[in-house]
Amino acid sequence: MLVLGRKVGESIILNEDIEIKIVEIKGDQVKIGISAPKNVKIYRKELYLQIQKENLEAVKGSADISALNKFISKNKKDN
Amino acid sequence: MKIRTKFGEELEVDESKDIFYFPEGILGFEEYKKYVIIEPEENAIFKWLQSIDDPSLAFIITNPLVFWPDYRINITKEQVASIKLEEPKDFALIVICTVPGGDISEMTANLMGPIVINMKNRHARQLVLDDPKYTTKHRVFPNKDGGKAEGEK
Repeated sequence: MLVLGRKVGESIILNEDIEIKIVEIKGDQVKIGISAPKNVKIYRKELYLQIQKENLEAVKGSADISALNKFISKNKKDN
Repeated sequence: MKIRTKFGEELEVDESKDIFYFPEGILGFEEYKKYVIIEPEENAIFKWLQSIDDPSLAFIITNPLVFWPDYRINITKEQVASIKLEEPKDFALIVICTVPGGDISEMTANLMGPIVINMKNRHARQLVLDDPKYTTKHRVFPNKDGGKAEGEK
């Protein structure tokens, strides 16, 4: 990993069209501003990983959803 | 064209109107871009999002508003730019469900990573919501001791 030292207000340019700017530093928190073209996807890594993990779990599980659908529509009629 | 489903069934799909395109794939499955939605019966609450390229890849999906009528998400233009969503009327929303250990009563839905669909061009994208209200595991059915269907973990 490339590590660069930056001060508040300073930036890094990636690929000519992405700018990452250090906006504010407070204690152990850093606020980062990102300017990028619309097609660049930006995620907080931990959220991204959480969704990815859930998708992998979702594919593993299987269920007879047809039976479930019938059960739900039957209960709806009964109520 | 003919496709195979997760359950070994063969299905005839019309490429011009049955296929949903995920230009960026689904997180964790980025290489799979084409899916069909299979309704096991009419007006089914739970459906399959079946990959065309890999029969074993299928997600259980549902309309989140059936179980969480107050579910609201904020979407930026940037988030839907890749599916070219312009008109609200073309918008559809689904969420992926997980069935841990095959136990349907324990089913959860991922409200943090909903899938937005542009019904006009049939392009879709999974979002990553940055809203602490929503997690990846909201219980679909109340648990046995009568807890709510709402989704703390």
